[in-house]
Amino acid sequence: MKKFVSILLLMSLLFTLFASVGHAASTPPKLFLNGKELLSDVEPRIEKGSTLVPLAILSEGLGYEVEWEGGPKKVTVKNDSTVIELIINQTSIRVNGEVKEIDVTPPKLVNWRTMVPVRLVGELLGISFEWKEDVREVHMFEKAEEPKPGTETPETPAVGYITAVNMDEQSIIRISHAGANAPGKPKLLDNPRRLVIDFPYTAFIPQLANTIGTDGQAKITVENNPYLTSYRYSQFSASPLTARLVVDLGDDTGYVLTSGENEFAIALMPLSEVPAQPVDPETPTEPEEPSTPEPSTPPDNSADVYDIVLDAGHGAKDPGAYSKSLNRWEKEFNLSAVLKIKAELEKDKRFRVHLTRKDDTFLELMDRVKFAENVKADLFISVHANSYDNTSVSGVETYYERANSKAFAETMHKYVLAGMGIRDRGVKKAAFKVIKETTMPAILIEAGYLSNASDASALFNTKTQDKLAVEVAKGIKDYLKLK
Amino acid sequence: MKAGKLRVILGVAACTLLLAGCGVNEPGNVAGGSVVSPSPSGAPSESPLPTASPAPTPELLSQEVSVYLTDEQLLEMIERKVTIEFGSEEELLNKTIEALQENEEPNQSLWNGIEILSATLNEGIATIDIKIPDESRLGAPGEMMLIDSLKKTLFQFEFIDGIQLLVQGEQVESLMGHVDLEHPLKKD
Ligand SMILES: [Zn+2]
Repeated sequence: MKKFVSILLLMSLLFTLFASVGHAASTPPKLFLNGKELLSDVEPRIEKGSTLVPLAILSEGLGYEVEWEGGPKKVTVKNDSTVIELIINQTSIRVNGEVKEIDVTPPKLVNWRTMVPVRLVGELLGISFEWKEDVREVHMFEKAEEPKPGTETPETPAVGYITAVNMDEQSIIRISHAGANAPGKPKLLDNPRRLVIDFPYTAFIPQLANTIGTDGQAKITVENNPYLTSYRYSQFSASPLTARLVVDLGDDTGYVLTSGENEFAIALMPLSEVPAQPVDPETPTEPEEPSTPEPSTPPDNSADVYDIVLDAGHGAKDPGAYSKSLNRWEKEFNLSAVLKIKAELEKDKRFRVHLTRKDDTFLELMDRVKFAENVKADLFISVHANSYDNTSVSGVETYYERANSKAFAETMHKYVLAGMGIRDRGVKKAAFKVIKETTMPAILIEAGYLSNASDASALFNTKTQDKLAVEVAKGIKDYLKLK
Repeated sequence: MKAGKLRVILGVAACTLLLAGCGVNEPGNVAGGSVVSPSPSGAPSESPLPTASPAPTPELLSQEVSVYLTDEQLLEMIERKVTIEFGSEEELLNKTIEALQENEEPNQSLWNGIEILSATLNEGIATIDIKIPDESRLGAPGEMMLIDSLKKTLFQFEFIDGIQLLVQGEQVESLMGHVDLEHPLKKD
């Protein structure tokens, strides 16, 4: 765990170093294939003049066959005539078996995702590139003489997140999620007997990802339970992005998989008690409807849908405030809280939720403002956690700046207090950039003090976060006078 | 088979050329502006001589200066008076910042956890280069008061019209991700 954190710090340090050479990090470049924008859940980034993209861009976006081997950390990309093998952080690559030295940034892992130099790979596979400096766009063109038979570039399905994995007293393993896709059919394997369930296009929120050890999985050992000895979860594959849950079953254990709202549940029971017609896991329609890609969603005319922007403060090189008592960072809480609020709001079809960041990436304050203006948000909520030298200071504060945000702040504050269950430090007015320069009702929530041990444990408590999400959703409905 | 392989090698060679040739177009150091540089103000700031006073006085001057701390509840700024001896305005600037960083229990200095890399004075602009250890990052109200306390402290001096606050040589959009930072901060 410690080791993992320090690797993470190192990676963000490296990133900071790169980012300070030219403003590379501020605006991620956009990618286009034959004029059509390619979207992905992880933003492309420019490092030392090379554009790095997540593997999914190559597979889903460009339609190449992509393999990832976790052991040697090897990526293989192929089309009909060319096979390219790359190893993380290595400048030697193989092209059709021949070793080549590259002079661009080698592929690397960034926040558990494999990022590859797109130009290098694309050009070897016969794609031509054009960089438009003024708009920071990478344009890729497939050579006309090699039309790929009947390929319409498939949309990258939206990535969902697993927010918690727990087992209750009834031996039901519950996988809470925000927009995770339904798992494929579970596989029951022998020697040792185990149940393997894969969730396509699914990642873990940072809190959970942090629990995954250097062996690539988080394992929870269960004692004195006849149905299982342990269960474990991992980011099984990076392309396609797949989260995996494995349950080490007893010899006589059966299961029933059900999916509820924002939850999949695996109930373990004696084989003899499994319903005769095994409940099929809701016949999942493959990757669920690829929900419209985030930033470019044009607000449609449906007047009864509210666009809500949730802004998780900080990210990547800016970790925000620090909890000494838990050795955790504000950016983790902010993202986790925002993902939960999103899941809660999306239970109601009248809300369309937009996140300024969906993972551990860095955004300038101005980018957050522009994002909210671009989606023509009806409401804007920035989520933060506080800090002060005096560790006895604790409680919730809600900030607004413009007159049109005061009532929103006052309403929301009551609900945030109810969600957090900690001291009330009041509604205040202050000119923080994201609430000053947006135009819609906008607030900034400081949900508690990470410098205060008791606030910190509430902030990082899953149940408190769940409650906070429920209350924030209630508060929004109250403010909008819905139902 | 052989011909096929040759074609691939040629292809690779062509690509390499292409890569090299396109290097000019690559989005490398596009930003210009804020490159990390050892002399933060961009001006050679080595000269230890006071720049503003035309006739540098050899004897030390003494002045009572106000520095601003924050009360124990992070609600308001508290004035603290200190007497500073100095030989030049730049020295006064540096010693005032040092005083600003001291806690006076129960009041806290928000600047306590910030590392001052350099503070120089040039034509009315105090350029302060700082490093923010991650553990010292504050929440939104703390960041606001951090900036306000610096402005209130330094703008008491007639000879300071602006504060150019840099983080390790760079003009950042925000110190800690809540408040946008003017470059330079101006006297209101
Ligand atoms: Zn914050």
